[in-house]
Amino acid sequence: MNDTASGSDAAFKDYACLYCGYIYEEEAGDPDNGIAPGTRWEDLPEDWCCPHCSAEKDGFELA
Amino acid sequence: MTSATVDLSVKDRGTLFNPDDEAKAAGWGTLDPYPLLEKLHDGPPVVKGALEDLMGIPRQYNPGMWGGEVYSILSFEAVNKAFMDGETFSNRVYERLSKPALGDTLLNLDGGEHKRLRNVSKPWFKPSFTDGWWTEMWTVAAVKEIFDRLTEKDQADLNLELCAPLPMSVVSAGFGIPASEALEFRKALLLHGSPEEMAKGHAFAAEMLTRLMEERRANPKDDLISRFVHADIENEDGSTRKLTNDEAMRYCFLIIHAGGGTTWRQLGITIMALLNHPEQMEMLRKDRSLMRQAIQEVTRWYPTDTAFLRYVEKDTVLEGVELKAGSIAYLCLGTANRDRKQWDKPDELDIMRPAKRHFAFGAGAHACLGQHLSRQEMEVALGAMFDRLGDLRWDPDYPPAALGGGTLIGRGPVALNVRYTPIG
Ligand code: HEM
Repeated sequence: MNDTASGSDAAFKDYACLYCGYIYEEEAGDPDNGIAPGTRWEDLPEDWCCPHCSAEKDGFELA
Repeated sequence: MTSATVDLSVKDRGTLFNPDDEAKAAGWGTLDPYPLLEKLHDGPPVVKGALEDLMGIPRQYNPGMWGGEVYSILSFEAVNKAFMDGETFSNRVYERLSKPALGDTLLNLDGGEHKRLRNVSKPWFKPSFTDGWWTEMWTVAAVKEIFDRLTEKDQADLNLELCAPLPMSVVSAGFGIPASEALEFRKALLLHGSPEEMAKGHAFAAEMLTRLMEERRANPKDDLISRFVHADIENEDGSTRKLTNDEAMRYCFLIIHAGGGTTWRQLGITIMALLNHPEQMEMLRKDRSLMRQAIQEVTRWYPTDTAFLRYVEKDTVLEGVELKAGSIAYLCLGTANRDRKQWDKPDELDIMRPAKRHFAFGAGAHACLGQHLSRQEMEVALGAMFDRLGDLRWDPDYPPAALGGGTLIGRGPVALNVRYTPIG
């Protein structure tokens, strides 16, 4: 099974924004902001931020 | 030297910056919500009825004007679901709550229209931008000036001399509104008053902003008005255009309005909470790495606003309760932030709790745009308070500080009279 854009077999994870509750689902990505489905958390660009409240990656935790 | 901040101890502030006066101007009762919310923790998470009725106080919101049924959403889980599901629980309520005064803004728009508008200013409220641009350009200078004033003496009302002028000055300066005009501008944007007073105030504020927008269009500066007048907004079809003058103006009104009063009151609540818990204040003074979680905890424990409304767009079931389309739902932060299932001893302030999500800044697509700025302002202010006001304590010549403001809206301390040993 190849379930990720980067080819890893690990299960997809979700990350929750501590400040507004938005959940980044690796499986779904963030296509509205140019992030393809399957993009792993580590592969998100450094300037990506929460689509709701603009928190940056350090404002998220594993859901 | 031009002043970066407004000295409210000498300026006429009208009813501004006394939460009780502001609440009275709006016709609200000022009882502390928490004793009245206590009994609701034992009941179901979603209840039919207006929150004020459940609390036994006169109405502050007027949910009857929408004509539908009314529900109160109380638990963490239920409030979370409502905030996060904007398609079912929409911000259409603001068509009556804020639109008459502020026009179409982020508050009353939903869906794609809201997202496209919010995207315009999102980059200017990211933590890295607020920590860099806002803090370095405006907050640090404003805090320094305020503390230079405070350290010329050994007693002060920190409500009027720190908490109120700081956010007003930072937001105004960031926009490009001169400090000399910031107070008049803020007074003009009051949401409560007779329709004539409000229209007059808004005409004054609009005139001032129009002048500044024209100036910045010709000569951009490093401020938000310049950014707004040159900003692109995405159309529904993906093409872009410039914001109209009117759109830029309404955006500015909203942010200036939302960014002054809230941080003022929340910073005041924070200082009062720390002074009333001296052992926790001391821990924070000694270990500033606790700052972020301390602010997270105070905002959980006592958010300045106790409840927000949403419009129920379609029939839905929440925690087993059926809500009909056309109903109004109160989302109660006061109970959700003290949900017994989420926190141990939630009525107690404990800055050593690990930071966890709550609803002081809302949640979902309408979560507070300025929350990162606001936290950083509070951090810089508290840091300076510890560094420059030694031996900080309540002033024994005044009655104990008390929280006032509307029971559901706009709570904060009426005064924070303190004594200290000035440093530096
Ligand atoms: C401690 C300070 C603050 C608190 C507690 C606070 C709280 C909130 C809350 C709870 C909401 C959501 C309202 C709702 O969902 O109905 C909100 C929205 C908003 N806040 Fe704040 N706020 C604060 C500071 C600020 C600052 C400093 C700014 C800007 C400089 C700001 C700008 C806004 C804006 C523009 C919105 C509307 C967002 C939208 O609807 O998309 N706020 N705020």
